[in-house]
Amino acid sequence: MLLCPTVKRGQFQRIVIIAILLGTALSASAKKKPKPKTKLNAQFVSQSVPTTMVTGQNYSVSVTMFNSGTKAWSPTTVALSSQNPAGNSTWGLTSSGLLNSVASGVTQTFNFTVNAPSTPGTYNFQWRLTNASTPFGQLTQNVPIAVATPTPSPSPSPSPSATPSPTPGGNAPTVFIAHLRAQSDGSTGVGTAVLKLAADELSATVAFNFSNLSTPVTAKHVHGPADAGQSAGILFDLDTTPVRPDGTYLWVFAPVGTNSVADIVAAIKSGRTYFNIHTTNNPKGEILGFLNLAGGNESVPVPTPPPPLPNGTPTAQDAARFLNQCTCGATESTVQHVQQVGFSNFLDEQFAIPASSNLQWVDSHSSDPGWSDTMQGWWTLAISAPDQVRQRVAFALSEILVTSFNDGDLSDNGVAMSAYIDILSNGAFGNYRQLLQNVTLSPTMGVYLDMLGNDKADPDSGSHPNENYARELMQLFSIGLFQLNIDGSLALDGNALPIPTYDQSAVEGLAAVTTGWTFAGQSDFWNWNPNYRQQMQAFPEHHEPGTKQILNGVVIPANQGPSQDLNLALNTIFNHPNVGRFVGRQLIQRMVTSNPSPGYLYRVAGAFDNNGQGVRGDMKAVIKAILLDYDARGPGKTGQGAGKLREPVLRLTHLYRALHGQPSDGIFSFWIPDEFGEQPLNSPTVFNFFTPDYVAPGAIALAGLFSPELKITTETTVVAQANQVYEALFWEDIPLDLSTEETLSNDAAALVDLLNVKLMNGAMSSAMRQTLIDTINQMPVDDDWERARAAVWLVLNSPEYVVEK
Amino acid sequence: MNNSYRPTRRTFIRQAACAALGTSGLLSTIWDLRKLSAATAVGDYKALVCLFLYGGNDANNVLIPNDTSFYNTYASARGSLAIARNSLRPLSILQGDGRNYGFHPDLTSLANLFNQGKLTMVANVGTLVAPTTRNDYINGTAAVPINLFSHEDQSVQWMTSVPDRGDIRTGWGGRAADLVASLNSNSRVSLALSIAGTNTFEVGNTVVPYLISPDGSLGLHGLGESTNDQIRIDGFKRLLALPHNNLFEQVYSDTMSRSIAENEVLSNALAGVSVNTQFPDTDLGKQLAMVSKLIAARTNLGMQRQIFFVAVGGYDTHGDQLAAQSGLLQELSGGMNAFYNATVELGVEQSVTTFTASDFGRTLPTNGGGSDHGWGSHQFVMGGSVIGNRLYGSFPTLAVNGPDDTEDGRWIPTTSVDEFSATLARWFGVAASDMATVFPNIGRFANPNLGFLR
Repeated sequence: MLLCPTVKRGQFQRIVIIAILLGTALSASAKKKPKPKTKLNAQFVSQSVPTTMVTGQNYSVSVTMFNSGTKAWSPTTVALSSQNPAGNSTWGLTSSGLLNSVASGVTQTFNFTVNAPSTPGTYNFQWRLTNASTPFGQLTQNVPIAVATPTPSPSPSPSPSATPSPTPGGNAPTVFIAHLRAQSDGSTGVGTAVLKLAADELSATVAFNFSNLSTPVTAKHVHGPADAGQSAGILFDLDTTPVRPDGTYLWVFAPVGTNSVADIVAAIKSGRTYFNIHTTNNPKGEILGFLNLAGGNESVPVPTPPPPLPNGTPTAQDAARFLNQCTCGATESTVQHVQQVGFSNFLDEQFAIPASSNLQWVDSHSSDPGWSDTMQGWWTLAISAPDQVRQRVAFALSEILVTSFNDGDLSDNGVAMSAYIDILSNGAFGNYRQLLQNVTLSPTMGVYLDMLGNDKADPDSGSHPNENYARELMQLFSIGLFQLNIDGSLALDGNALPIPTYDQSAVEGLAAVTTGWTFAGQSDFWNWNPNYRQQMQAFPEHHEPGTKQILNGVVIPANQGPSQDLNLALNTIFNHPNVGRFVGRQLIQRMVTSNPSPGYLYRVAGAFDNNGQGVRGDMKAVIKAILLDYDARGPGKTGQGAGKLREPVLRLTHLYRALHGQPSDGIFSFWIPDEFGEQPLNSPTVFNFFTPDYVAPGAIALAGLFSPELKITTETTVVAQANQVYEALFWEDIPLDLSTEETLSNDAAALVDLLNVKLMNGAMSSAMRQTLIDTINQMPVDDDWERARAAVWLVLNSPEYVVEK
Repeated sequence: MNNSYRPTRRTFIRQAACAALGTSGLLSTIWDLRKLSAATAVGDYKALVCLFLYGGNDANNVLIPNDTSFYNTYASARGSLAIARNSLRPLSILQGDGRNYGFHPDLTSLANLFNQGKLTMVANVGTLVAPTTRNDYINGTAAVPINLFSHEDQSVQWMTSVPDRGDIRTGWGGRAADLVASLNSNSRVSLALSIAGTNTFEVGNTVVPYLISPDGSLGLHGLGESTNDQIRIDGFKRLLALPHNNLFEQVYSDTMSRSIAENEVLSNALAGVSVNTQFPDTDLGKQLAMVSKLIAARTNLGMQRQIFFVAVGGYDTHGDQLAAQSGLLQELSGGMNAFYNATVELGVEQSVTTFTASDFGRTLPTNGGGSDHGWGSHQFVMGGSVIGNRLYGSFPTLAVNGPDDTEDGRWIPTTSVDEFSATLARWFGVAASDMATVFPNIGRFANPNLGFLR
């Protein structure tokens, strides 16, 4: 048998060459083309070379070139030769040759050893292929290499415990990380900068990222020396330094003002340099952070508390904004009610209303509930049930703890999906630990992600426990892939890399934990009589008996049985510090904004970790923290990344709630085409309609913004959504109450002002208002039916409405 | 009760989840420094069709050993998932590894196309950071793709061909499209067309994919009807044209405006074409029927290069695999066969190359009813430019803890996505000198051209 891929590729290459020869022979004989003249050419691919060296030392380097010409490189004449200046022997050699011929279309790596010059200084490292000394093809990218005398004393380290683990040879750079946070009021910006100080302390590599800035980036610098809270001049200006292909910047140290190279190095090593990013609206800097030695567990700064919110009666605009965040759409009567009782009391009232059950609804409407029954129940409850906040939170949860009709076994199973959405609405105001357990033991989830019927390993057949649920329980439902800081930002290790939360062995361990469960009421593990109304039951003899190593190295003892194993595993997952940060962020995204500030995430995750009475996972505390926060209730956001797109589903529920849809039989039933982009309980995959981290290419990516809903904002969906709104208004299969709009319609300004209050929280711009008035005024003044509907259609599809701030 | 329900195709495709470090992307940086240099002759036409099998197709049951001892190895390793040998569709292989193989019994049409030399398979392709051996993998000395075995990440890495970076937002199809877009100089519509929703594959640095449903492009209700409708839609266009400080508003406005303009162009172009080939009435059949119409409309649209994206979901067969995959492969075989016939009808079979891609392969041993997430897998390539009657790549040793295994019957790829895709891109017209722009890691691999296309 074949032993290694190299051998296999060799064999394979021969097959390919034969294939090419055959093909060429055939086409050549058929067409009798003259043989084209061959040409030498070369393309630079990559290189590996240290950017700093010690005088007189030897270093292994490699340069990879691609034969982009039509002629092979002959080993007798072709070589890689030094350039800049051509033919120099700075590195102890002038050229590196070939052992074999390199065919056209093939990549060749030249590995050779260089000897650093004996005099300190900065030297060019650049190469080009030559054929009998005549250069051809691309130059390699020039690398200025800083060559210095050896450092006599061992490199000091500020704190022995935080020393990064050195790689063999002691050439590892020292890594410093800055957590960039807002330095100006109102910014929700966040970012990370990394500085890698070369072992010889002659240079550093700098990289950074950012997200959620107010306006485009205008400048970025490293400053110092300064203590925390102080400022200092620029030590390294990234704006005048070329960015390298890998996105990093090389800082070759040189004296700056009164600071010598030694001063600069000392400032870096003592944490006395900082990185900041300036933006159009914040010319003095928008985000800033001190570069501290990376230990892998350093903490981010605790966000400063927001300003206090005003007390007193909410305005109608504030109440409407709140209701559009936490219900399925503001109405005139709920706005008045919130103004009477206030935000917090309204939530307490809602917490006390019993859950409207989708399963009860479908049972009372069908003896054999299918897809359309559950959908009708969903829309009817979302639009007309009194427990509005619960319905909205359950919808948000259905986009995190995803199951879907879009699955072979569940495709027309109304009972399964209605029972599942009830688990979410019943759990919306409970504890997340209990919700995780109820979801895990739901037969609907069991079927969707294959925990149901998951059997212990069978050594005879070689079968192993199914990993599907185990993986998604961690990746999507609780902790995510990477460790997070207290403010939701990505934690980094000593090499400035993200830290995975679990590895494959933890998935396999958890897969073993989740064995032995099937439908309730069965006498035999394999004899399935689907029962979607009760939790799954365990068959201990089908449960993996051995020890299982799960998350964080926790080992579940052998022979505990399925329920105890699951209990221990869920406790371990639930207590991982990521849960509040990971789930809290997504709940904020579903309700308030796509790009929560670090402070907002910190406060919401804090409420998850402790509701004030020492309880972890209290959903009521999390919901209040999200909706009563300064970032949700404070002044409307005007930044370039403020708010979020309304989900298409919630645009429809809002329409029917605000315009008083009244189906004759009380049932909201309509046909939503695939092109609409979203339909509750019908996610295409377990990853929901969009992911929390989706970044649309273009302006959104350049501004460092997340934009989950833009994933389903396409040329197709936007028009399908506009047409759905058209059908609701102009076809009116479900009657609406547009009497006030029709009465006002002969006064275009009055009509538009009414809709501004009713549908847009009073936030319409004057330019939009004027455009609407001008448009309505072009229609016949007595056509009240058309004027009213056209005005509502324009508002409900306007960019200012679609993006909720 | 159920008349309004039809299974939703997986329209909404997930994209890179990990927005880790590095907003200033490698590729956009390189981009600024480069000039367009697509090596193409004026007047030719070429189209690439990416057919994505979402969920991770179990190709262990697509290309199956058909020699007695190797089949027995396969059958005992697969247990209850094994396909009966007498049901395999035999393949006529003139050159390969000296062994016989057959296709899954539901791939009858594709086996015929294989035997006619119009379709081939590349064995054990997958995401690789660099060539990786079992020892490298077991000892942890090899860099492996970010979040191996995760759907979300692996499907996107197949599209980006940069599996060691989580911050790449462009796909290799989009980057190739950037290079050839100038050939479509008369076109007002993107050359990257998706019939299966948003995807990373077609996103370029400058090229923005345009999405079409299998029924064609979509226009606003009321368009071209009453005067009041016209007033309303004109007012809407003015509303969209207002300046928007909020970037979400701006993207929504731009998307809507682009849709209104492109719908006009496409409706006119599609109105003048017809394709007679019958397509199966399946999700994939409908998508590929629309692709054939868009190819037929290429002249009306001013296209010399087109890239299409179609997709089918449901391949994540953790349970009930035999039945589920049977239905999926019937749909695949019927749809691809009809599409090939349509390209023959249009006289462009040598100008259209279709290839499959999927999140990953699946475990060789069963979990009882199905299989779990794997890594390397086999992929189809179809079209008149295929150099057929042979297999490409290296078929894995079907053994847990064998030389191709990670540890649990998940194959370590022996051919990289970069090599597979670069072969397609070269055929499409990406010059050798531009390969490193489209595939930044290609220099790490031995074969930038696997030779399966003329």
